[in-house]
Amino acid sequence: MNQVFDYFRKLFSTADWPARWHCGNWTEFEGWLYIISDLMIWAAYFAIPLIILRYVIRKNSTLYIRLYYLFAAFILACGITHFLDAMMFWIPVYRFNSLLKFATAIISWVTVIALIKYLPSAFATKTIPELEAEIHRRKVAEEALRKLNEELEYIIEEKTKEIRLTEFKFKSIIENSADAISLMDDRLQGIYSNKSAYELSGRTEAESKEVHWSTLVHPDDINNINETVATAIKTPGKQISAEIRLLHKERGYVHIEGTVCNLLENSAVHALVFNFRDVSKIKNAEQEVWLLNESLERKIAERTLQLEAANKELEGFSYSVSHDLRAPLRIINGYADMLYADYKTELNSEGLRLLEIIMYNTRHMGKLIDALLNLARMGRKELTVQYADMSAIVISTIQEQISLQTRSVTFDTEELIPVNCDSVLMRHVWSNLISNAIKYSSKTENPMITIKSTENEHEVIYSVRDNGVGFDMKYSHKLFGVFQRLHNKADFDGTGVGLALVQRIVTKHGGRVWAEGEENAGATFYFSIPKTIEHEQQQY
Amino acid sequence: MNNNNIEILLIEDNPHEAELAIRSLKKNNIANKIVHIDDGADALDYIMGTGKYAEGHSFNINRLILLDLNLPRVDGLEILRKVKSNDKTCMTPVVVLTSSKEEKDMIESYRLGVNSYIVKPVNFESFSQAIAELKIYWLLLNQWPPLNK
Repeated sequence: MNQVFDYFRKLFSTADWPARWHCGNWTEFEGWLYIISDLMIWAAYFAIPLIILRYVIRKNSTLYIRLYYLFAAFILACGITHFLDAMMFWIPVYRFNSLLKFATAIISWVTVIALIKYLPSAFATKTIPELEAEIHRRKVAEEALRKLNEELEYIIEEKTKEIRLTEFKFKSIIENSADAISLMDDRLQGIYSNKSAYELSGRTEAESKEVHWSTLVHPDDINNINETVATAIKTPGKQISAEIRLLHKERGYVHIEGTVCNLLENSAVHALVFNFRDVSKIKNAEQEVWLLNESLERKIAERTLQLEAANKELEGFSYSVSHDLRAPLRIINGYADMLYADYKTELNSEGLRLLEIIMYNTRHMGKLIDALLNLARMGRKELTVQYADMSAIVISTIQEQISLQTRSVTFDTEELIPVNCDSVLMRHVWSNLISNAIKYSSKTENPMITIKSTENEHEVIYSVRDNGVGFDMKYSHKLFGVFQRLHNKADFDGTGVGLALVQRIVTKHGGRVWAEGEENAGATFYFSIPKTIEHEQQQY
Repeated sequence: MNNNNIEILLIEDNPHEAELAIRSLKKNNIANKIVHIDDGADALDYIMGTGKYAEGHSFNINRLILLDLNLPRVDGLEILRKVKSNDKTCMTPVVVLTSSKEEKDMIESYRLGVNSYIVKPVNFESFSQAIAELKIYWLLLNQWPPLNK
């Protein structure tokens, strides 16, 4: 320790060694070469750190800045050792010199350590050719990138144009759609509406913004549209139909119809889509048709009532006519009878003939009136529909009619199809048709009457055929009219009411009557009875 | 009791109808007293002893009423109703003799208690027959027990 202490105490002492000039045998040249070389090294070693310092200061943000400082210190320290070596020729401060060398050694090792430490990153640091190559590569890459970018930009531009065009196309389509299209958010605030949507309520875009669409909905339809929207929200993507009335600015409430679709989840739309159209024209037409139908039905009902009233009146009239006509007729008949009974001896043959004509005609008129009365009564009678054995009815009617005849008549009857009908009225039908057949074949050699039945899906058709005088088909339309007769009264007696009665009864059953015939070749009378007699038809 | 004691009350407004009826009755050898009244109100007075028939009236139980329905002032159905609803006259047989084939007239007559309903036929002979059938009532009348007063 004493040595170290002595060392620092005698640091600048020159007492222990001679100056270098006096140590050994230096020639002038040798000495000065040494000294000048040392000084030159020192000057150079002094300049280098200055240059480094300047470089560092100028570059400011140089990489490895601490290393540069270290180099500067190391070179400066080396320089100083050479300066001291030169100084030794005159001032032998070996101790101070060794201290400086020691410091230089320390700095040198620190620099070595630092260099080792920085070596990996120093390896990574590119050399200039490398950097140039790198730069070249980069430039090429950049150029490629730029080109790529340009191409990309071009593509994007093109795509954007395309998209704009598509957007424009769809927007134009939607904008010009005849259907009103509105997009709304989940709080039912309008996002977008096309022209038709504004036209729907007859308002401009600005006017539409002043009122919420829901205030234009008819109060009775508010629940309807709310339910529709609620359903639409519950079922995304589904078209939910609705029909409501919307207050048009000028036309009052108009009927609109359309759908609500929840596309809130659809990332492109993100809205409730309302798609409606004005159907008031259709509605009005429907309404008109409905009204027309209504009025038609009312008219029909009115006419039916009128007809029924007219029918009733007519029946009442025909009834009262026949009824009121009967009384005076009976009196004429009665008095003629009295005349005949009491005064026939006083009348000559011509007087008797005239009286008989009066009596015959009053009796005939009585028959006409009774027949008419019968017809009127049938018109008013309600049907009592039940199962009827037609064969039985026909057989008993034939027997009844034959008993009234003097001539023989051949009947050809088959088993007849039974049907549901009013059997009392049906007996009148058969009675009239069979007596007619007998009557009009009474002048034929071998009278033959054929009675048959056929059926189809809806009805049973009965026919009565005779081989009598027949009739001309051109007068067939007159057959079933009241008091219409196709034959001379002298040839075939009759009231002209029988077939009218047949028609009335059959029609009341909902059936039809018709006839086929040929003059002097017989006639066939047909009537049909529906298999199901409806209540309405019973009313006649 | 002699059938001839029975009085026949003919209520008929048409004189010719009445004449025919009376002649018909006579032709059928009906020799009973025939009273003809041509007015509904008068006929009621006659039966009930009111109005001009009030004096010296007694309810005749031996009587047959031939009644037309169409009558002036009080119609036939009204007379029928009054006769059949009065204790003193309800046993008197009433025959409606009418031109009316109207079902509702017939039904109403039977409902009110008519004893017979005859529709006058146009034919005079048939009419005579109908009158002849009236004879049945004579027999019925004879068998009736006296009225309990």
